[in-house]
Amino acid sequence: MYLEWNDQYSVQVKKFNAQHKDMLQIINAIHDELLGNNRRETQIQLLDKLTLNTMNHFSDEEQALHEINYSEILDHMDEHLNLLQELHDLKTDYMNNRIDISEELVGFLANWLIVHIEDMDKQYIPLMRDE
Amino acid sequence: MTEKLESIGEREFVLFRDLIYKESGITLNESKKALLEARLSKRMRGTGISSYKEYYDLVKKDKTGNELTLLLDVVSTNLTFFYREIKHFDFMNNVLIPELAARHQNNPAAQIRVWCAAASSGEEPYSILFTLLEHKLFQTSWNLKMLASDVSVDMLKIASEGKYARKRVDKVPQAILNKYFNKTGTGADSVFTVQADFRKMIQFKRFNLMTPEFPFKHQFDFIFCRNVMIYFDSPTREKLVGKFYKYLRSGGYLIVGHSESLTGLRHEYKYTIPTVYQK
Repeated sequence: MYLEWNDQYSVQVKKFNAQHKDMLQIINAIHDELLGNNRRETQIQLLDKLTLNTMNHFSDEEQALHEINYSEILDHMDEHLNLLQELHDLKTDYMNNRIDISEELVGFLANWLIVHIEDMDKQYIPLMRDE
Repeated sequence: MTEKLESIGEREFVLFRDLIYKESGITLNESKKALLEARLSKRMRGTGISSYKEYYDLVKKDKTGNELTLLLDVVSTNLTFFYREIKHFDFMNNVLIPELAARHQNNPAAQIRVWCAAASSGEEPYSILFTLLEHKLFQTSWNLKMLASDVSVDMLKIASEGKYARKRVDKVPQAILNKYFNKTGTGADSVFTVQADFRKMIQFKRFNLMTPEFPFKHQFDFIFCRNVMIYFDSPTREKLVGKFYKYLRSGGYLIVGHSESLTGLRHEYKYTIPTVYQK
């Protein structure tokens, strides 16, 4: 476990909290695998899963932001694209043996998720909260 | 009702992509196509032009470079707010400033050099300044030299004026607002302006990070360069962090944005915490 979910990360939308928790859980699994056997195949599967979950989550979130005519939607989508691009590049670099999974990489991923939640996602709470 | 623009064609996309890369180092890949369209259309509506090629020609023909500046402004997000990525300010409070104080405990007139390399509209350099000034270990006798640079002249103008609408200062604690800002107007229409004495503590200067050799004579204690490298490809990033390294003193820190990993780049920094690196 690299980082435990904390209620302070809540965006007060049930579906998105569940998706964020899943993403954090995958990052924690990458960390556990790093400290354990650090099998390449498992790490690639986990990075694939993280990418897929992230894409689905961003897509759901953007759809919801679109539906409420969110005024900051372009900035939000831009950040999503940047985050996905970085994740994609890291995954490609790992698959091509250009980088290793490290504490630094796991720290980056956990921070990448949490900062986005705290700085960007929390701004839509007043417009979308359902819990 | 605004007429919806057609999708950008492959040829036009490549034209804009190459021009933007050449002028700013910003990399736009296919995934950014829809976003480029959305952002370009905003600027094109402003000029009354409805075809991408026509707009491209306008940018190229404009010898003043103004339209290019406006184009670069719309393709890169200027998204910023006070105390963005609060962990960096926690790091300043818990590690960076105490280290500065320990280093200079016998030198009350020490020069402290700070560079905010992507100042945008100023929220970041002011957040850094207030964090320094508010710290109990900060010495008023220190000779603080703070540089805030950006590639956009328009952004720097906003930054140096230090004027923010109520909504933009939401994250600033009331005590900081009272101490460092002047307020005019009331309610949602009120405007907060950083007081002149504090604005003067920062030197705002236009600077393009693509400049091959940085013109500084002295090294910095720490450099903030956040949410810029995300637009650069790996070779450009590697060069940039290398140049920052040269201009950091030994033990100084480079602080990057949350979506910018240095993993996979060749560099000599020591990893401190996510997005913070030490020389």
